Amino acid sequence: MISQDMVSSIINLAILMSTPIAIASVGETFAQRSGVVNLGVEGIMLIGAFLAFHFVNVTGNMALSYLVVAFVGCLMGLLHAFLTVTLRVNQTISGMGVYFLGFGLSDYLYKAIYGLKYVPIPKATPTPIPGLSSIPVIGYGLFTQLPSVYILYVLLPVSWFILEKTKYGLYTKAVGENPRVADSLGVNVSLYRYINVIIGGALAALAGSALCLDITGLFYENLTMGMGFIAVGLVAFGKWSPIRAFVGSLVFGFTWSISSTLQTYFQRVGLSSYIYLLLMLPYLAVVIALVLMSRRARGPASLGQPYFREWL
Amino acid sequence: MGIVLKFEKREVSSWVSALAPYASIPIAFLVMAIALYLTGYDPLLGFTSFFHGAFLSQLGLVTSLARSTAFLLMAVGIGLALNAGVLNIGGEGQYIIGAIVATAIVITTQDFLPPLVSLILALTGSLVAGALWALVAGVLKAYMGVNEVITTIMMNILAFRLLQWVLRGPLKNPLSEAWPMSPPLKPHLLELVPGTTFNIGFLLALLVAILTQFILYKTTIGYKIRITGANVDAALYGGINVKNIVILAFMYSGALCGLAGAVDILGVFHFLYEGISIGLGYTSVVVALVGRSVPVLIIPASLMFGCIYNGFTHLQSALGVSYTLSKAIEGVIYLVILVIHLSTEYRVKVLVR
Repeated sequence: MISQDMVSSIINLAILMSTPIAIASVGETFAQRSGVVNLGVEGIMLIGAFLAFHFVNVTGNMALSYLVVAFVGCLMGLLHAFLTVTLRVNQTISGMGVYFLGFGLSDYLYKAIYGLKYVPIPKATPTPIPGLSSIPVIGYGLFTQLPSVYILYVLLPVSWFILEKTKYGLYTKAVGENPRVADSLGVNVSLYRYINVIIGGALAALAGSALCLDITGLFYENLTMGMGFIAVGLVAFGKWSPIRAFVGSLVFGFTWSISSTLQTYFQRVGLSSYIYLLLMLPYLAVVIALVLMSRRARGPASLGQPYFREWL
Repeated sequence: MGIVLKFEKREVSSWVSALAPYASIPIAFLVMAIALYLTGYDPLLGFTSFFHGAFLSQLGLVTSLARSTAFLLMAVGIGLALNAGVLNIGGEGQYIIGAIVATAIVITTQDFLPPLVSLILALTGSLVAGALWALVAGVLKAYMGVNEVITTIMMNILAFRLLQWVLRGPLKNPLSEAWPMSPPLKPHLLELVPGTTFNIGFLLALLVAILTQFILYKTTIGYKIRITGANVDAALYGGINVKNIVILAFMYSGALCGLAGAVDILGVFHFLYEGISIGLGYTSVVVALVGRSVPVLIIPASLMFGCIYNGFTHLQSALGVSYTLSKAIEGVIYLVILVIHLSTEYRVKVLVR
């Protein structure tokens, strides 16, 4: 009953569905390593998704849309950084403000421009990597993928290298662990926090555009359905390591993929109202994963706390 | 060389700190006017219909008051949780669960119990259901340290899926195939103005707000809640069981949000459908912040947001814009309030050196 093709396509969809969450999660890892929680990721993803949709629809140029989206993501990150690092507003509360703004603005702009109808845009096509894509079972799933998945494959080792092997990464972690010591050694705490939160914003926006361009091919209200919040949660799940956060996003991706495969089965046997319970599974899986992993997780020591240089 | 912001804590009179958040409203309206103008709508027509719908017409005012009932209940609950230092973004899900449970109770009992008994059972049931739904996030926060914002958002999504399922399964109205909804509920909450949706739930909400004010400021448990929120270390040092306080705050918060769902179902909608809550839980967080998490200050804040919400529905139908404009404007109000909080509590000096 379960064929090899079916397994391949489940893996393929799982990797694809994990990608937006994983990209956003890598960005949030940078922000949190420097000591700033950004709960606005969901809102930034929505803005990114809308802008990517709009640009591809108007210009047809995907590469350009990625650039524009990343730039606007930087601006949203800048807003959160200004509020939390310079004005020292409570990070949780400021993040929710960024979320509200992104959620409302993205859908308002969509409806102001496109009205109430769904406008499909040409979706990106999967590109197989010669050789690797013909590995049995996993080859199709991992290496016949859409552009954003390949972006993720590059992003994961690069972000690991930056955080673990460079002076920049070391300073970022120092600022997140003990800003006072970092400051006394001449590291500009505010600057490092700004840069990392901005990186987080840019990656969150790219994650939104990945969702829109590679997965849905549409924009509609609340397109992300909590993926941004999952991304933030997975940072703790991954113990502040980008690679482990990706593993966490696979939990969501695989449950999603399996439950959407089951959906067609449910419809065939006439249980279509239960589809909505099936759609709960990925979110339940994430909650359970968070419970199992977060117990032992210990984040950067000054995570969530503003740094006042003058308060000694 | 560089620009340094220096923060000095300052004392402000309670009047200033209570009224300052309202300064965000004109700023938000200005942003809205610009947004409407830039996207090609007529801001003047927008504002006319907004104010007419919000409170300048009698029906508008009454509907706004009816709308503020849910905001008042939810914001008081969220405000109490904020006092304990936790942010309950899960009002949305708790509201939905309260509404589902109230509908289920009324549908199963309305044919053989007197209406009043059925209503009381439904309100109590929603209270318990909301508290239990919030308990999950509370326990995860207190004992596992899982960020409460993440879990409550997940619980919101789960609640919405559950709502979609019950409307097509157990609570399905067999007469409505195309539009998923529950059968109509016969017992209604007493209308304060006959023929409108303004019901006795509003008085109940006022009572709950005053009760919560009393709990927070006149009882030991309220004192413990406030200490936990102000300084966890001090609370631990003082021998307060912080974990239990966090869980209690979540359950109280969830109970009120669940109750809000039941009051809306029994007093306003009279049947259950998918669109019962479009972001009410998120708006209530803003309401709680405008009221500075103090129950009696949340009363005027929720009245104002009832007007804003209702005004927006009129603006939307007059201009044909999406309801999410109101969400973006709420985002602006929210962010401006944060800056206002900061500038009233601290003296900010810009030093160039």
